Amino acid sequence: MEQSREELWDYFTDTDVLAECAPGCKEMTLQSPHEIDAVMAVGVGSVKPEFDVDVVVTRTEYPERLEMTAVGQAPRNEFETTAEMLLEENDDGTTVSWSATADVSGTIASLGGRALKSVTNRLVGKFFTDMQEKADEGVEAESELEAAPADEDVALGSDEDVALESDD
Amino acid sequence: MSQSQPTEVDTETDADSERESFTGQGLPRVEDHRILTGRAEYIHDITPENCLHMALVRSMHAHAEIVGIDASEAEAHPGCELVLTGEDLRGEYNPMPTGIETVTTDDGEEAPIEEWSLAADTVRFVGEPVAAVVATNRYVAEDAADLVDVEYESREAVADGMAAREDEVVVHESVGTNVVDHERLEFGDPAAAFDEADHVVEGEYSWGRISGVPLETAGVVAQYDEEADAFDIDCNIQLHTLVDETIYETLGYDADDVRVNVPADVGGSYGTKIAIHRYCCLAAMASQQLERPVKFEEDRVENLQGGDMHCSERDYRMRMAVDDDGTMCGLDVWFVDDFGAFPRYPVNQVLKPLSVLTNSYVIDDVSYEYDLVLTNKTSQTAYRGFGVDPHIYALEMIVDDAAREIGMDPTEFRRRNLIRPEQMPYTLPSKNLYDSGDYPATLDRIQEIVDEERDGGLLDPEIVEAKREEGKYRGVQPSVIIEPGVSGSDWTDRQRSDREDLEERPREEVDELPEHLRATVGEDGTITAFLATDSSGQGHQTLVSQLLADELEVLPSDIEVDYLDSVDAPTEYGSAASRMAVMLSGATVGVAEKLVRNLEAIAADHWDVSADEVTYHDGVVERVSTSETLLLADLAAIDADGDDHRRSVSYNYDHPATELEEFDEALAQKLPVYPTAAFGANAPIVEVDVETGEVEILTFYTVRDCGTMLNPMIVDGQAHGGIAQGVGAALLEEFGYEENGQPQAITLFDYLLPSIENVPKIEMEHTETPSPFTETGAKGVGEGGMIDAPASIATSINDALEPLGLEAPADRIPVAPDHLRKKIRDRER
Repeated sequence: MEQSREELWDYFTDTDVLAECAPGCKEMTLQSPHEIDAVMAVGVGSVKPEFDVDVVVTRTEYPERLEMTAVGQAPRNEFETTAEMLLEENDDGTTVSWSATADVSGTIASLGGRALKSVTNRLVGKFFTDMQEKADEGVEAESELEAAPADEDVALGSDEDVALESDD
Repeated sequence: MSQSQPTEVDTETDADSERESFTGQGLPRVEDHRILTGRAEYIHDITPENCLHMALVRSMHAHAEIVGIDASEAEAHPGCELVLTGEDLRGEYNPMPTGIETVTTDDGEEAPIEEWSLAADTVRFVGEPVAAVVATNRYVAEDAADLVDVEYESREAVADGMAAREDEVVVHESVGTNVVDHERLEFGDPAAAFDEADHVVEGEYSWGRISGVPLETAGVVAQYDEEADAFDIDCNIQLHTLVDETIYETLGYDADDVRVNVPADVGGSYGTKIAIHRYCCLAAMASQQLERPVKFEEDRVENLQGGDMHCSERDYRMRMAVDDDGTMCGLDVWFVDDFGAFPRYPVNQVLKPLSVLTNSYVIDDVSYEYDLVLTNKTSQTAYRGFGVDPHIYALEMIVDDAAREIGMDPTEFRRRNLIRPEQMPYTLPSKNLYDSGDYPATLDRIQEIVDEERDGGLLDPEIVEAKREEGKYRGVQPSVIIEPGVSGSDWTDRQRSDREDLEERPREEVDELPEHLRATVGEDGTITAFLATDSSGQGHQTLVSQLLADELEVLPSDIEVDYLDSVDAPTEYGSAASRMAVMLSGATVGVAEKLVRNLEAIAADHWDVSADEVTYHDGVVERVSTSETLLLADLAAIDADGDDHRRSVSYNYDHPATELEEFDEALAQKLPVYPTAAFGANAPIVEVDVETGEVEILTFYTVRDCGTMLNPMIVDGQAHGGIAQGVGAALLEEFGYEENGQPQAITLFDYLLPSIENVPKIEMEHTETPSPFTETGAKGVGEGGMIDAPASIATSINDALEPLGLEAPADRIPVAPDHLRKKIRDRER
């Protein structure tokens, strides 16, 4: 992206912007600077569950690193994910790299198993394209997120069956 | 056999003057008219007035702790009548009986493996029910089920049988190990055989998780009667008089208080519906709580994902000791069977292969060892073949490998080791007997058919060469088959017995279940027979009609065949393990003899003469001196006026092995007893596309012998269906799992069943070598095809790809395109 890391940081930490760019996002509410509640409908194959998602920001290193965990629950489906985003300076602006591991359970894993990886990659790609558009348009953005205090328990499962990476 | 000459038959196989009996004729099945005209009543058609419907909340995790369940929102949902959780069951009901009741832990304690109808603390496979929701209809029940909030704490899962042996993740913590059953059996002196042989060949073969997928899923309608404190349960369970204990024990009632009734028409089972008791228990519990009928119908995803209906999943390590001259000297069988989360009732399917331990070959020195392991997958039940199919497959694979090792033509290698007709009846090292048959003649016949195809046919060398240029490799490798029939029942609890004591066990302790049959003459002179077993498409009504018509010298159309429920019927084995042709024919002969004696007695009393002055024939009793006759209707009317009720009889036909001392050793030691051995040889001609890895079966040749064919059409149907299922197993079907225990095949989009596209042309020949061990000479024929087709397709694939020099290309079932492509790619590198 052409923008500087500092400029982009605001976009990636503004829940209004995130809500507009996150695929399938129906609602997003900032509960505290490190907690977001969201409702997201994710369709993979023939299933499209609507997840109640709890996001916890676990680490922020302005302006280069953002880590969060998310647990999504829908009838007959559940996911847990840990995502990391790195902002690195380059000659033309910033390289944004994003990686996540997810543990997906339920019909979305069984029915969408074949398509899960490609669908995820497409959704992630769309997210960053939309984000880039927002930044290029110069939409107002304000950083709202900060990491949860270290003592807060955000224990998550350690399974890493679906490893997804997307560079933008 | 009857000498009656029926003069009129209201079916298309009109009697001709040549016919001596209905048995042996391809009489159209009496079941088919109602099935084909939509008049059959299945469990799914039964919905009593005031009936509620149940849906299940199932675990989406393969292994997790249940932290809490909040059902308040579901309970508040309009139309929701009840939510049951595992906790609710604990006080009032019992766990379901399991196949392995306890496991000895490292501390020497006997730790029980408890399976409840609903999980309470831990879930152990994706699809395990955690709550039952009952509502006014299924739609409402499903909606309410989605509102049940279950909080899980997920745990690491183990979803691979070999990995499970390491016990890094233990499925049942209290037991401390995943290996819940193990046995090593030795017959003869295998160690010496392996020491002395010229060659020892080793192979590893695996068999994927495959099972029967009946068109009709499981279903149950349960009604609790408060006044009688008893249950009426209509359901499509298989073996309802044998496995009804899984229902009444779970409910905490006596057998007499839980009436399990199976409709005459069940849309397929193939063994899988033996284990649907969880649904029966839950519907019954809900009905008791609500005092209303409760119905549950399994949907397709439930059936495939968590319907407790998967079957054998095995990793084999086989070794064969073989001499340069092509003599099979020794066999060493070792395998792991992944049973899923609970060792359910049919754990003895790891033992059934002992009944056909060396297939059609003479091998005296054999060892057989298995580990039965648990993993975080849905539990196993029975499926057509009952664990013999993977064994025959692995054995035919090592035979192919051994032939290659000693440089002998695989067909010649097989021929040299076949049991010869003069060795019949042949006692296997594992003590079961093969009853009759000329195995070499069968192999010779299939070889003859193959040779014809080499001359201008599918396997003409020029055509084979031209096809190979296109990347299509044709081949065939004939293989031999045995289908063990008519299982005994006493051995089936070997794993719950003290195995060390069995060697000394006296024969008198053997307790076999007979086949029970009733017959009664109605006032209109028709006869109704009552089966104590359930049917799921096998044509038992036809079979009994034919047999009884012959015995009583009447028409099949004069005979109705009905079914007894679990309370009216005694406990018996039922329709499984290729039993019914033999057991029902024995029972029919017995019940007819008894009925004839009684009818003669009724007439003798009526005429006030002695019994030897009357004689039964052609549906009448005749007074010899006067030629006066009494019709069946007359006799029924006379009997109805008296108190003796002699027109209704019941008969228990003893298992044939109990009458034969040759089986004493196997019976006493609880080794699998299967007194009939249908046999044959297969030669599916296959074509492998090396670009796609797809296998097409051009023609499936098979020569089969199941002794006397009681109804050749039914025999053909059994073989066609079995071969179709065998094709599915060999090439298409598998319940795959992710490493974390998420199932990959929960719809028919992923669990690929054979269709008209894949089921090949089947060219079948029959020979008839009667069994000397059975009443009619018939042998069991319910599982053939599924038992043998996968092995035969695999050996043919090996042959087709021989020119590529791949090592055992068909070393796993299913031989799916990705498997073959990987093998071919790896070689190209």
